[in-house]
Amino acid sequence: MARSQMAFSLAFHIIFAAISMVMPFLMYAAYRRYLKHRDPIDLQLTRAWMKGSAILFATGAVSGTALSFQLGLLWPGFMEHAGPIFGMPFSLEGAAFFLEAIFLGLFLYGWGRIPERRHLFFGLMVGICGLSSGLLVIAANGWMNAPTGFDWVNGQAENIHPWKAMFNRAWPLQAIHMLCASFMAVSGAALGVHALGLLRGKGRAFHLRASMYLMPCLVISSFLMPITGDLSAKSVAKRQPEKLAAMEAHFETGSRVPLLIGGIPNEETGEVKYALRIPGGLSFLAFGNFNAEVKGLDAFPEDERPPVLVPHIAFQVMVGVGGLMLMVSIFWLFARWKKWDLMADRKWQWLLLLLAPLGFIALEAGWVVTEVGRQPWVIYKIMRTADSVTPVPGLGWNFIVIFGLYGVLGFLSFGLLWKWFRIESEREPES
Amino acid sequence: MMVITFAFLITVIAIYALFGGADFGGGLLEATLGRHPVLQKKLQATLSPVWEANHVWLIAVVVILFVGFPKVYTTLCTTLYLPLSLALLGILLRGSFFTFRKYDPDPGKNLKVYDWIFRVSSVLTPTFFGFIVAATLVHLPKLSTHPDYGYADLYLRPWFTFMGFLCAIFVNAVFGYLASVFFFGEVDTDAERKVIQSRIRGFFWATFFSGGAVLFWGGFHALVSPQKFFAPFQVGAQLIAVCGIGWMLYALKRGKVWQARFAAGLQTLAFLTGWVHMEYPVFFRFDDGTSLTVQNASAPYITVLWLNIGLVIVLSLVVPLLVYLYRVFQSKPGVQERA
Ligand code: HDD
Ligand code: HEM
Ligand code: HEM
Repeated sequence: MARSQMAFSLAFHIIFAAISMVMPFLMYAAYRRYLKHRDPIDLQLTRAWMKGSAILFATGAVSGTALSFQLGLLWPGFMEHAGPIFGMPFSLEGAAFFLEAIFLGLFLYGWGRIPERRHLFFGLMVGICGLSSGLLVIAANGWMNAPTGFDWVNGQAENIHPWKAMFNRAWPLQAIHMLCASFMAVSGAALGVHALGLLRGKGRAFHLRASMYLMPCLVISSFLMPITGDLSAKSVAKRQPEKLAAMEAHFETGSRVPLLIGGIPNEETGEVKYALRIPGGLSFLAFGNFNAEVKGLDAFPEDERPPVLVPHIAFQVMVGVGGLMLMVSIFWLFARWKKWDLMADRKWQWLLLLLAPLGFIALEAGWVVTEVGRQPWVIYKIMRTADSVTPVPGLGWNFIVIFGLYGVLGFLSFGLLWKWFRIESEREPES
Repeated sequence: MMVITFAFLITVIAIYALFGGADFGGGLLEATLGRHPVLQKKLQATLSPVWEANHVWLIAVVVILFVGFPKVYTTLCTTLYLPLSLALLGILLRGSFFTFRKYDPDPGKNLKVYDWIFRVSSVLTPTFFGFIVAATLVHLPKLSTHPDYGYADLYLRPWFTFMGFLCAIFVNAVFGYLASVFFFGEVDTDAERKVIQSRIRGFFWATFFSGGAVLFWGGFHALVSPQKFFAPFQVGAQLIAVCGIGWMLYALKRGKVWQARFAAGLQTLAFLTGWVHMEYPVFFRFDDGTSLTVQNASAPYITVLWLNIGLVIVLSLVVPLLVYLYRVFQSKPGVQERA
């Protein structure tokens, strides 16, 4: 129960977090262009993205606050030990968020009150602070995957080094991969929304301008995604071989291990059905050598093996989306080269609309891979999830309340956003 | 080192109580202004800009607790998980419905719903903060030493006390008082001033009586040692808290808005210091005779050290920026149209 509640709250929070890591930059870019060319459409876009940032900022902050309590409510055993060790990134996240709130306030209320250049600068600062706050928490998550900066003596942490804990091995790659993922998810979703706008046939100029900002984000991130993802996988292979094995549904240790594409693993028998096998693929992807030995799940004690089905499927989903987005991006580049006017094409608009949720689905799936693949540990090789869970009974109710509440909040925030979106996009640009 | 962290903790709580408190009280005040819709509108306008920034102080409290005093944080999150979750529920609802209300371009029928959820949740949170505060006075059961205890014994009875009830009223009253004093400076007709003045008086008396009841009940049941109870510091703090009203009313009469706000703030701080003095260095007591104190509940030295360094840096960045934000907000828009 505690697990599903935590996972649900995190999954909810991450959506808002990703948006508030990216949207301020879009707002900044549009505003910057406005100040240069004084094109009213850019101003309109700036405002639309500013309102979006403000509304989602509130929901993100509120759900984040709830999370910071929930960590304690659900995992007191974990927090009691982990707090002093990985508190550093959390405190810094708090600080970054604090600054972000102030800069957002300055941006929101600064229209016509502070010089434009400074106003623009505050817009940029919103983005930078939002981004750092997101990347900093990942340091905490990275630490759970690669705990360092302390000695574990008789169930107590000693010789704590907050900085070493923060700069753990897993952080840089997770942070970069997540950064690209957020850009992909948000720009993909936003493109879908604007494509819908185009399909509805109102505010054409507005939607076209929006996609001028969004499309490059999507293309760049979709090229970076497989690269950073591959680096992540290599790092996982070294630091958490059982996670890699679970992700890839790789049961038996061996060399020249095939890469499985698709397939439904059976955890009892260790067989994978309906999969496409690429000989030596996994060995190559994990260690850069077709003949390398890759540890399978059989190399680990039974009670230290993560579940296989969920991480494997989640991993396939993530990589599948990554591949699809890459193809779409390549097609777009090709069309640009050929000077086709894709954005005017209804088929392309439909495609973008259909792609809209995929980035977020991949984002969530990626987190499922990381988190479920780390089981049964909450802190890798240090503390088991079962030992950290709260002794409080009756969490079911708690969960139901949170679930219902988040449902309502999510529904309302996106409903509001949609209202604003219609208003902003259908307004005649004032000159 | 941990004493410095503790000082930071109390400072942040104080800031949260002052500004966040005025914010929560704003919801309560709004509910009492049912017959003055114009005033309600004005109040809503003054609440708007500060929300995001105020809320952050609470997160600072949480971070300081779980980094600096992890055991206190886990106790709060287990034994007191019910009032904490309910306070959290209030925060969640309040924050989001405030934003929805503000940004909904045509709220229509939803407006009533937004309004009431906002107001009710504004009261919910201080109420459960009150219960939590009261729980720092009693002896909490330890989970490990009472295998025979049921759910209610462990998670309900420790905090759901008459004292908690009194504290809940008290916290709400103080917040309402702060909100009405802070708001007084924003109204501009005599009739409106009269209305707000009556609210100020109402909330003050509510504070006075509930606070008196808290002290009496606490003294009577020996929840606090008489030594501390009658210490000169304590008596002084209580005197400032009560006599501050004289200054506040005097300032109001002469139209010195800032002095009145200052006085009300001082009164609130006096309550808080009195409380901290009474409790220091204990956070929580347990019924096996042990307690969590500033010294024995703190994180290892190096963590606390870095936490303090970080806090100094962050506060020195944040405070000037907040002042600047406030100045920008107070200034009039120039030639450019507003967003
Ligand atoms: C838009 C979303 C998205 C897309 C298209 C991809 N990923 Fe991803 N991936 C994430 C979003 C994501 C994530 C949600 O951001 C994760 C979860 C934890 C993290 O740090 O990033 C992640 C984690 C993650 C991990 C686990 C890291 C760890 O546990 O430390 C690996 C090995 C990969 N990814 C590999 C890939 C590969 C090879 C991709 C090929 C295209 C790929 N990802 C596309
Ligand atoms: C800094 C970021 C994060 C922290 C500190 C964190 C912490 C935790 C903790 C303490 C648990 C409980 C132990 C467990 O059941 O594994 C957990 C589980 C889980 N988390 Fe995370 N998490 C983070 C990010 C995320 C995100 C962003 C998501 C999803 C979108 C996520 C999804 C999950 C899931 C699905 C589980 C359940 C795994 C299982 O029980 O099988 N986590 N996480
Ligand atoms: C990897 C996962 C996470 C990412 C990328 C992330 C990112 C973010 C971002 C970007 C914000 C700013 C929100 C906004 O501007 O709307 C935020 C807010 C917040 N997040 Fe997360 N977050 C993650 C997980 C967590 C976890 C596990 C916690 C639990 C302690 C948490 C606690 C908070 C809190 C308390 C806030 C509110 C503001 C503050 O930090 O002071 N986040 N998060």
